Parts: sequence; structure tokens; C-alpha cells
Amino acid sequence: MEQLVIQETDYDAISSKIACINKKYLPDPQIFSVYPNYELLYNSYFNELPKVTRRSYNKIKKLMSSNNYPIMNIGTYLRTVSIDHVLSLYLLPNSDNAEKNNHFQIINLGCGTDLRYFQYNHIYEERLERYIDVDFPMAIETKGRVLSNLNKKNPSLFDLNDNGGSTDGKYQLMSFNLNRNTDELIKQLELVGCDFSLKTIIITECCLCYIEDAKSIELISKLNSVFNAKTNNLHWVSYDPIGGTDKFGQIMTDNLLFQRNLKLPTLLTYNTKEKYSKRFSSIINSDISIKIEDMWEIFQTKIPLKEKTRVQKCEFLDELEELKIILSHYVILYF
Amino acid sequence: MSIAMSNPSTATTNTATATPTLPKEDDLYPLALLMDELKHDDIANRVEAMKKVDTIAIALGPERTRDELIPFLTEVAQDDEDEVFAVLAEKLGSFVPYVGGPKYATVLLPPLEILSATEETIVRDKAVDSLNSIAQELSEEQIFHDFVPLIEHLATTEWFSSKVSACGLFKSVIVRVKDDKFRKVLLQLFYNLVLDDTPMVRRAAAKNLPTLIDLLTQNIRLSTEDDWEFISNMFQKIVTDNQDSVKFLAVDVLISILKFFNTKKDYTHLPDLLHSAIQLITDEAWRVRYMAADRFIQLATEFVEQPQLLQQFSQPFLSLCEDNESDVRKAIAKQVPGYSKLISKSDKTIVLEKIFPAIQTLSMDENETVRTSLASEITNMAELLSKQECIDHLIPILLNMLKDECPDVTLNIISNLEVVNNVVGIDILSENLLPAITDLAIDVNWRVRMAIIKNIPLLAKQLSVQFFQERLSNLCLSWLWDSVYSIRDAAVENLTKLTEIFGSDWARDEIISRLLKSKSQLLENFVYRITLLHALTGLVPVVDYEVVIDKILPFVNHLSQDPVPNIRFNVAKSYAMIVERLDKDKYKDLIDNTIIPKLQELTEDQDPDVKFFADKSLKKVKKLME
Amino acid sequence: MDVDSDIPMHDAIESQQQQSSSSYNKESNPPENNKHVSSSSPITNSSPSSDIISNSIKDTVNTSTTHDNTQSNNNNTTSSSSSNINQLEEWIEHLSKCQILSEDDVSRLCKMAVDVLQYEQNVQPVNVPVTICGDVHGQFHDLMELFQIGGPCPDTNYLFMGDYVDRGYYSVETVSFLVCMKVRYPNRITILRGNHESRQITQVYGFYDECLRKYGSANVWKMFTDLFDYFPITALVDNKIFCLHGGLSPMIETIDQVRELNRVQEVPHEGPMCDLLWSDPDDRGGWGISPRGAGFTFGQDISEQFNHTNDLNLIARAHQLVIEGYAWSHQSVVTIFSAPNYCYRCGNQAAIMEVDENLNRQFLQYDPAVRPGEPTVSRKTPDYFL
Repeated sequence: MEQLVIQETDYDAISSKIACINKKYLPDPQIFSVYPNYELLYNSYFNELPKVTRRSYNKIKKLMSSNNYPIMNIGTYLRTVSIDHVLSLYLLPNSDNAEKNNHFQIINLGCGTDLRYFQYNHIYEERLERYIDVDFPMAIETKGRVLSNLNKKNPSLFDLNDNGGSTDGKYQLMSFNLNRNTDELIKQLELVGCDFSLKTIIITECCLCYIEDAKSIELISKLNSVFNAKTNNLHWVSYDPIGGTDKFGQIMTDNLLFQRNLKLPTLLTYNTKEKYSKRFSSIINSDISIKIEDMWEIFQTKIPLKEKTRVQKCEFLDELEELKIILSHYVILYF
Repeated sequence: MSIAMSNPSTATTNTATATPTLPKEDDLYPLALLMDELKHDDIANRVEAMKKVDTIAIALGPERTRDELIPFLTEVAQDDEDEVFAVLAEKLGSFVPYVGGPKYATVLLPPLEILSATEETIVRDKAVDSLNSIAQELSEEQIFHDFVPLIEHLATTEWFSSKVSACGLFKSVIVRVKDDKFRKVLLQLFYNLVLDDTPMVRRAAAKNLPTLIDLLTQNIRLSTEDDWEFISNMFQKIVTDNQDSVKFLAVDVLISILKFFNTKKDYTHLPDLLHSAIQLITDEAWRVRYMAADRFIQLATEFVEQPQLLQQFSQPFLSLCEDNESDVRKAIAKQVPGYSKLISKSDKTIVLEKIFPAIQTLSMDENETVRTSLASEITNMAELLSKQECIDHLIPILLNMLKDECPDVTLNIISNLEVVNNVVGIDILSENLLPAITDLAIDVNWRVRMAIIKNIPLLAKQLSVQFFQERLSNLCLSWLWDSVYSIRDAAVENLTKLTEIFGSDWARDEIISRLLKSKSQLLENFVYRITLLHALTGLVPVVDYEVVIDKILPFVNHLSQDPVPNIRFNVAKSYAMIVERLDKDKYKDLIDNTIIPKLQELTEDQDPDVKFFADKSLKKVKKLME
Repeated sequence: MDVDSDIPMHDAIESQQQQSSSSYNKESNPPENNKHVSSSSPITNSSPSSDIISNSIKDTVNTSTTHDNTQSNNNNTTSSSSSNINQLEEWIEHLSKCQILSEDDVSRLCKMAVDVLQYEQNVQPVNVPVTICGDVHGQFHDLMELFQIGGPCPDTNYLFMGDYVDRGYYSVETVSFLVCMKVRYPNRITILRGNHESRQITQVYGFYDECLRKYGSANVWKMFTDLFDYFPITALVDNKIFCLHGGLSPMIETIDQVRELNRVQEVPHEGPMCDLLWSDPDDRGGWGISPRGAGFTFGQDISEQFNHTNDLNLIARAHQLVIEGYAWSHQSVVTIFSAPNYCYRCGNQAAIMEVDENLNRQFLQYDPAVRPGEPTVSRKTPDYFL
């Protein structure tokens, strides 16, 4: 049952994303310039979804028709662009590193309906050797079916096989409950062709927050050792809420538990940037520098003025103080 | 959405006997309108339409409701959104009269079966409730032919939500079925649900099992050995489930089983059941122990006729008091006096020798919710003790708890002192009571301050006037100046109640005269003046006439000229209360010559609210004087 | 609780001496800038501005009577309105249980409210003692908590500085209740307009959707948003405390300039009326561009100048969420926010400011009321990023 509740958070994510796209926050010009099909991609997916599962579609439609506030749109925008921005940093071609011609692979744990594969495949082409989407069995099955339907309608955009994965094996949809043993996960990754010596970026976007503390540590440390066995080839981008040192975290915990039976086991444990960061730093190699920022910092300092103006013009935002509070409780960590 | 009106999914039309009627324009109209609204894009419209479905049924009449409306609703039940389903599920429960009475009630089962299978819990729950309420009106035949098959369908599908719903329906049939063989079939079906793969289903089954057992207890002669073998097996399965969230439901099942055998006066199983009880109480899963702790008295009560068996509860009881989990300790703390009462009938020494030390430890528990929980019940221990025992064992603990830093702990003690008072009198506590009260009286949280004020009258009854006067009257007056309105208001009510206890003279000397001596500087503030006015007015009904005339009325008169209109209109209200209190004949002159003219003046005030309330009061006064 | 008196009170003491001798007579003297109401336009300003009267409620207003000059609101004391009073008291009773009025009743209430509000001024004079409150944003149960703390109306006088709707789940009940109270006790409660009392904003931030959900159509939304046009935009407490929702405007140097505005219109996108409802005080000096996209930011130099020019002690405003319920800026501007745990998410306290006859101030802070559970089938708007 808890699986279902966590899975449903994907509905929130996609409804926020579609709302964001509708109101023109996304794609941002930078993404658009390298991947003009962004809007088409997400809208196609969203329109195909009801034919595969009416239940999920209704839930998402409901989420969307109840007004998505400007705050949510800005937050979703920031979440998306900050992850893409970090990834682009790690994927800059390394001119003196001729090894494997700058190839890499991406593993998206708890991927939900995220469609980054198509974006990155288009941009990096053969440099992207493998892209593995991992999530609960039911979620992956649905995603597979939607994508395979889309493939039949628009093969140039999608280029997939019947399971929704790509014909060349580059794109893999993997069913896996992350609460299971990580050794199992590693075995499964191997089976789908994951290369543990290749430069790898792991994405956990609102994923670790649903996993119990001990389990998350096991996940991080085992993945860290298997990928970094020979060279420091592992990068990780993680986006999550943090409880903060004010009442926000406790209220968030109570609200989610009461309204949706959704638990966030480590929200109040890793409640500051330092503590969230420490979870990783105490496991990985000490000479790797870990960076962590919250979304408010990013909004204030990392978004160029021109872009910020564009974003602020999308909608009338009246709730600045509230925006600050909520954005300060979401962080992106990367190394 | 396609509406298949011509092909109802249930074959209930009985065309041979129905008198054909030409559908009139306005007969078709309500149904057509409903259909339109139910196709509306906007869910708000669809929900509103569904809310009126019963009026449509009345308009259509029973036959058309059965033949047209119900099939239509069955279609809706398959394809719409949860909010609409929830309304439909609820409405159908009261549809029996609209379909023509119990004879036709089974026509309601198909749509409800569909609704009981949806994902959304609220919809399912309403559907199950409706089905259970319809079942009450069905005949045994109908139960056998229609209702039970419905349960069977739900209980044997793949989808877990149907099975969960099925669990909730057995209670409507289990005692309606007189045939032993058939009851066995039902129990077998239920047993399969207890064994289901999905924890949610097992949980639902375990949750519903006590109700089924209780029904068998109420129909004590109905069940057989075979039935009980099933139930015993079900219990064993639940007790050994690997999911805590299922296992802990075994406690309630056990209690129901115990009740059954005690009602039947069959004591042969008790030792085994005791063994099961102790197993649950000492289970390794904290949730199970928590449930056992919470239901401790209920469990133990079932063994009260067998003192040797009952005694075996004591050791487990004490270990629960020392449990690792605070939630468990919190639950058992509440049960202490109840269990002590049960056990003291056979063995009083254990209360003093073993239980009190455990209480002592709980009273100093590091977790404040545990201490709060203990505090809510602990004073009831006084009933079990002699006066000396109380002084020796209970009082020291209470004294300590009164010094607790957590306001809820002290509040709970103070709120329940009456029982202690009956045994030893609470003067013995008064030295410690006072600091506790004063701390609570200034707590940052205004609701804590409120709670202590509400307890003052009760305390006042139990303490001597002298003690109260010396120690608490200042406090009672100080609450009138609290920054929070609700406290000031409670303080006024408090003074009134105290006056009822201590008398008019006390109020006159200790309260009113002190209030009237308030520093003029204070009275420059509107809040002080209005509170003072409320306080004195509040005392009017409970003090002697002379006090009203000599002390209160002059002050009220003075305020009738107050610059702030809010004061003036409250003065108008006060005058009415004063007249209500006074003996109208004795004080006729006073009223006619002082009060009425003042009210008259106020009716000509510039401020409309002053005018309004003055008019109202004047009318009332004149009526009282008639 | 905070008793605040760091502003020199000599002004207050002087005026108190004036007050205590003449305050009783205050009621009989007309407030300084009483309007002489002509029968053609509901609000008379010294400049014959082109009123935007475009809907039915405003049209029906033109049948209103002229007023004598004693008070801004005294037309509810005739016996014909005693049935009105009973009706209002019934509605108040109903609303205080958090139950909505019928659409017909809302229509009647709004008509009665226009009759009261149209005679109020752009700078509505308010007498002390009064309790000044900030944003409520549809948090009905917290509004009831506010009255538990500050005392019930009419015994306590209140001044609300706008933003009654949007964000909370009970905007309809909240605004209906306050409007009802205003009509029943016009001299005891003042309700100003906030930036959320606007057609545009309420379509984005929830009030429109809530009306649709609770009434099945947008009629009630229209009635209220039409009514909002009549809400006064600022208040002056005892000539010393200037109260408004947002902040100052570069086009407004004196309070008289506020009096000259035509307020009976939708909140404009820019201009002085917009600024008064949208601006924020800021650490930086001078005027600045507001990150909100409307109004300006203003520095300490601006507020000090304004207070000096207009002989004020204090500017009280709302509009911004503050964690402790109230916060000082510029030593003479205070922000008051009366929606605790804003959006059921932010964890902030709320506050109200009690002002006594001598202009002494006391802040009362409070936490959210214990809320009854909200059993609904559907998920609410995503409140968090998940």
C-alpha cells in the first residue's frame, strides 16, 4: 500500500510539470535551444496516458484542474532547470580525457514519468551509452506501455521497441523496488548492460526522501563502491526536501501523513544542508567535493537576470515570503 | 459516456406484469435532466446532480426507478470520478423505499457491488455501509440468493479492494444464515480472506472478525464446534502473521472470543486463551504490545471469575510498565487504576508491593506523554486505599507530579483531585498545589491558563475558605487582566462561580471592594474598564440586593457617561440585568428614578449601537416592571 | 505577549488630554472630511472623476438617500431596518458555525453592504480603542481564534487591513462573516481592501474556484468582487495611525491625495491606488522596483517623510508574511499578519495590535486554532514538490 502512495507522488510531479509547460516557464531557453521538442514530448506523453490507464489520468487531470499556484510553477521550474544545469556541467566534454571519447551513462532512480532520456539522447547522441530508468513495477509497466504506443505514432520522436525501451538497448526501463536489497539492484543493472567502469551519473529526484534512513545509506554506499571501484567515475545529483530548523518540516510531515498517508522518514533527520550533505560525505571518497544549494539560493543568485525576468513575467506572483520559505526547504546536492 | 437505457444491465424488468404507461413529457424530464447533468464536464455539476438522485427517484416512481434509473446509475458507477461515486454510494443506501420496498431491494446490489470495488477508500466504505443497511431489509431468501453471492464475488476477485470490502459485509449475513453447513461455507470464505496474500486484505479481515464473533455471542446457541474450530484457526493465523499491522488486531479478536466463552459459561478454554493473551502482551512487535496494553483491562476482566488465572496477568502487567517503547508505557499507564481494582479483590498486597513501585517509576518517566497519561488516571488509585495507605503511598507521588515541568501533567492531576479529596482531603496537598497552580496560571499557552481557571471552582469547594482566600484570590483577580480575552472572560465566570460557593458577603468584601479600588491609572485603559464592567455585572445574579445597589449600581452609573461607546452599550445591557435581579416592588422607586432615566438618555445617544442596546434594554426593563 | 512602546508617546499624551475632555463630543462632531453625498454618484470626491459604474449592483445604489452630516453610517437605526438586524444576526449565527449562506442571501447581503460601504471614505476615520488585524486569507477557524484572543465584536472594535480571501479553504465563509459583521456593526468594525480583493487575483489564488465548488457557479464570486470595489482603501486611527494593506506610493505625499482618488474600480495594474495595496517597505532607501510586479518598495527615508508630512505616529500595514506575526520596519512602519501557519504550511505565528484610547499599543501573538479534519475524497492542490 505504501508503494502505491509513493507512486502517486509521481502524479503530482507530472501535473506540476505539465502546468509549468502550459504557463511557459518550461522549457527554459537554454534547454529549448538544444532540444526544441520539449513541449511536444511531454504533451504527447500526457495525452497518451489516459488511453493506457484511465485511473491515473483522472487523478492527474484532477490535480491539474485544481489551480496550480504560481509558487508551484516556479518551484517546478527551478527543480527542473537546476538538475539539467548540473548535469550539463558534468557532461561537458573533457578535452584531455580521450578515454572512451567522453561517453557516459545515466541511471535515474525513482524516475516516475520523467522523460529526460529523450532530451539527453537528442543532445548527446552517441556519447550517451546508456540511460536506465528505475522505478516500482507498476510505474515502469505503465510508462513502457505509454512509450511504446507513442513510438507507433511518432517513431522519429521516440524510436523505441515494444517494451518502451530503445531498439538499440540504450534506453532501459527497469522495474525495481528500491527497498529491496541493493545487491539485487546491482545485479539487475548488470543484466541490462550497465558498465560499472563508465562515467555514470545517478539521479535521485524526490526519491531518497521516501526511503528509510538505513536503506538509503546502504543504497548510496553500495552504489558508490561498485561504481567507484576503479576510478572516481560516479556523479550523483539528488533533489529532496529538507525539514529545516523551523516548524515547516514538522507541519509537512503531519500534512502529508494525514492527507495522503505519505511518510518521509528522513525529512527531519537530514533537515539541514549540512546534515543532508553529510549522509553522502561520510560514505564517499573524502577528496570529492560535494556541493549543495537550496532552491531559494538558486533562484536569487544562480538564475541570470534576463532569465529571472522572463520567469517572473509568466505569472503574477504575490507570495514572495511564502516562496522563500518553501524554496529554502528544497535542496539539490551534487558531486 | 454511453448511456444504455434500452439495455439495463440487470434483468429486473418484469414486462409481463407492468402496466404500460405512456411516458409523459414531464415524466421523462427529470431523468433526462439528470443524465445531462451527469455528463457535464464540470465535476461540481455532476456531484450536485448526484445529490438529487433521490428526488428523481421519487418523481419517477418505483417501477421506472428500477427499470431505468438504477441501470443508468450502474453505468455511472463504472465510469466517473470518486466524488460522484461517494455521493452515489451513500444515496443508494436509502433507496429501498424508492425501488418499491424490500421485495425489490436486490436491484440495488449490482451498482453497489461495483462501487465496493473501487480504489478510493471513502467510496468503498460508503458502499459497504449502504450494502449493510440494505441487507437489514432483505429476506433470508434474498440474503441467500443475492447478497451472499455478491460477497462471494467480491471475496474471490484478484483486486484487493473488492476483498477488503467483502470483509465488511459478512456481519450482515453471519447470523442470518440458520443452516450450519452454509455458515461453515461463509466462515471458510472469510478464512481465505484471513489468509490472503495482501496485508491490506488480512488487515480488513482481522478488523472485522471481532464483530462477527460478537454477533455469534449474541446468538449464543447458533454456532457449532466446527464454526469455532474455524475461528480458532483464524485467530492462530492472525496471531502469527508476519505483519505487525495485522498481528496487533489479534488482541480484539481474543477479547471477543473470551466474551463468547464466558457468555456460554464454558471455561474449559480459558487456560489456553490466557496463554494466548500473555503471548500477545509479551510479543516482540511493539504495536502488538501497545494494543494489548491499551486493551489490558478488557482482557483481564474476562478472567475475573478465575482468580488464579487473573493473577498471572500481574507480571506481564509490570513488564509493560517498563516497556522500551514509550507508546506502550503510555497506554498501560492509563490502565493502572483499572487493573489494580480488578486484582485487589483477590490480592491487595500486590497493589502496594508491586504496582505502586511501578507507578512511582512511571511518574518519573523521561517521556512526558507517559507521565501525562499516568496523571490522567492516577488519582483514581485513591479509591482502592485506606486513608493511611493513601498518605503513605499515593500522596508522595502526587506531590511529585505536581512539580512536573510539563503543564499537561499537573493539569491532569489538578483536574481529578475530587476522588483524593474523598479519601484524605486535599489540604494535605495544598502546599504543593499552590506552586503548581501558579505556574499553570502564567503558562505561555493560553489554553493551559484556561484549563486551570476552569478547575478553580471545583478546587475551591474542596479547600478551606481561609486557604483559598490567602493563596488563590489574588490569582483569581489577576486573571481579569490577562492579555487574552478568553481568559478574562473565563476569569469573570470563575468569580461568579466562586461567589456561589463562598457567598455574597465574601464577594462583597474580597472581590468587589478590591475591584472598585483599582488604580485610576489602570482604568484609563478601555480593556480594564470593560472587563471590570463585565465582572461586576456577572456578579449581579449571585450577590445580595444591597451589594447590587450599594456597590455595583453606582459604578455602572458612572460608566454610563464613558467616552467609549462600547462601554456605554454594555452599560445598557448591565442595567437590564440589574433590574432582572432586583425585587421589583421593593426597588420600584430606584428603578423608576435612576435606572430608567439613564436608559432613556442612552437611547438618545449618538452612537447607533448604544441606541440599539439601550432601546432593547429599556423595552425589557419596562416589561419586567409590569 | 508584547507590550510595545518604543515610539515616543508624547504625541499620544497631548492628544489624550484633548481627547478625554472632548472625546464624548467626538461623536457629535462630524469627522473632518465628511463627504456630502450627491445622488448621482455613490462616492463623491473633490474631483469629478469618471466613475466606472458598469454593473447592476452599482446601478441599484443610485437610489440611495442623501445623508446628514453627523456620521458616515447612521442609516440603520430606523425601525424598518430592525428586520434587517434580525436577518443579519441570523446570518452571523449561521456563518460562525462555518456554514455558507445561500446564494440569494449573499446577494441580499452584498446589496446591504454596498449601502454601508459606499459612504465610507478613501481614508476612513477610525476611533480608538481599536484592534488592528492583518491578512486572514480564508483561514476561517483562525479568524475565530483571533476573536478568542482579542475579544468578540462589537464589544471590541476591529480594523482589518484586507486579504480576506484566497489560499485558505474557507474564503467564502470568512469574507461573508466579516461583511456581515460590517453591515451589522458598521461603527465597530472597519474592513479595508487588500490586493487580493480583486477579480484578477482571486481567479489565480483560489477564491474563484472555491465559489465554483461551493455554489456551482461564479455568481457569488461576481457579487463579492463587485462589492470589493467599494471597500475603503485606507484608514486613519485617531489621526495618528495610518492603516492600509500594502504601502506607500511615489504619487502620494499627503493623505489628502488619497482622498482624491476614485477607488470604486478594479484594482489597477499601476498607479497610486495599486501602490497603496501592493507596496512593501524595504531596507534600501528611496523607491525601488517591487519584485511582486506591482507597487514599489520604499525605504526608511520615504516613510519618515510621509509620517512627518502627515503628522502621523505610525503606519500599520499587512501584505507580507512574517514569522512572528508582526514585524517592525523603519521604526515607524509595522507589518501585521493574522493568518497563522499560512496556507497550513508555513509554521508562522499570527498577531493583532491592540490600540487603547491613549494610543498605547500591545501586540498579541497566537498560533493556529486546532482545525477540524477535512475529509474529502479528492487530493488537494499539490502543496509540496513530491
